[in-house]
Amino acid sequence: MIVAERKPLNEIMDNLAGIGSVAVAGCATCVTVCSAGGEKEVSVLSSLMRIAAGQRGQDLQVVELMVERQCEWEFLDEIIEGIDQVDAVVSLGCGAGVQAMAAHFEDQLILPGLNTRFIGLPEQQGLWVEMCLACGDCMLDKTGGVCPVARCAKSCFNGPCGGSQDGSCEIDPDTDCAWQLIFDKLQKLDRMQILQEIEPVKDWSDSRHGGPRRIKREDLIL
Amino acid sequence: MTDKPVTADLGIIDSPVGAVVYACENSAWRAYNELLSAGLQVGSNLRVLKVPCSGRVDEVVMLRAVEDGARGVLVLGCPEDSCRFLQGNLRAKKRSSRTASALQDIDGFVGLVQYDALSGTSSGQLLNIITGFVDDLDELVTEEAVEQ
Ligand code: SF4
Ligand code: SF4
Repeated sequence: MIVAERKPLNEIMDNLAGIGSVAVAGCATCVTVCSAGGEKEVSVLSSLMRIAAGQRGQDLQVVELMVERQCEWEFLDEIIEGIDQVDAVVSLGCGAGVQAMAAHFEDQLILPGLNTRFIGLPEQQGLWVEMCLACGDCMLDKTGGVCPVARCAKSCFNGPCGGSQDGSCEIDPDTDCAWQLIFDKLQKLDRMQILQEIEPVKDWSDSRHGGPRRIKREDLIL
Repeated sequence: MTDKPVTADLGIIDSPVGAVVYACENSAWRAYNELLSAGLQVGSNLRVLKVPCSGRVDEVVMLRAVEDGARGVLVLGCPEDSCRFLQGNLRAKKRSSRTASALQDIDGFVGLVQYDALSGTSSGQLLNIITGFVDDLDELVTEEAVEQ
């Protein structure tokens, strides 16, 4: 899922200088699961904004909205009425959600309330870790399901760098060395021979070096 | 339980140092009732509310209390390992400090959000906790007034 965290309150408030009414819009999908932009976070941010506005002497009306998925137009139609009644919207969706809202509500000021951080998973309650950089050419088949692109600090493709120590990454002892995990998993699967193959330089043309990527499925386009 | 009894009209909006105390019914609330039956008062500018567990008092509840005019929010739960719902007190402690630090980010906001724990038979301890909390809050508000 997409993992995000709230922007500092002062940054959000500074963006709202001179605004009289604002909707805080949450997203009930990824950012709800990572406790950054769900219903509860909408309520918390709205309260903080009201209190902060009071301290700043700003007369700011704050309304709370939820969208099932901000990154799909169909769901955005459901909140048109609420959006029309305010001067600006602080979106608690990820970057895709904010942009979808900005494109869909052409005349409305849509501001980001979150910093979108990564594609990851909750390793335990309250701890999210990065798992994938969306490189566009997945190599997990060769690495026992552990991503060296995202989880190796140096994105090494042919074994660990010289700094791996006791299973930890040299940049941070609290981070597992991705190559240690790859070794351990392949050993368990009795597939160590995969590592005999030298992985050539990665073809990054499927990554984002050619600008924004798109996927087109002709059979789905009517 | 709905949000209503916890967040609705705390009745302290007019008072500058008003505070709300969320008291777990399994500990602090019992101690509070003991105090009352002994004829002791915990302060006039203070509202004590019964909650089923301190874990019920999340950031939303605490911030609504501040929005309603409270300068202080004190959450009182059971001692560690004694929560009837196992981890409500641990959550309440962490949520209180998260809320306190979120409020600290608001320039000019003066207030106090705290968590403490006690058993249902510790009415003397309750009096000390509340008195200390109110004194700290008063001091903060007085400092602010002097600075202005
Ligand atoms: S906008 Fe879409 S991708 Fe972003 S958090 Fe919401 S559901 Fe997930
Ligand atoms: S190899 Fe690429 S697509 Fe696969 S998990 Fe890693 S970054 Fe994501």
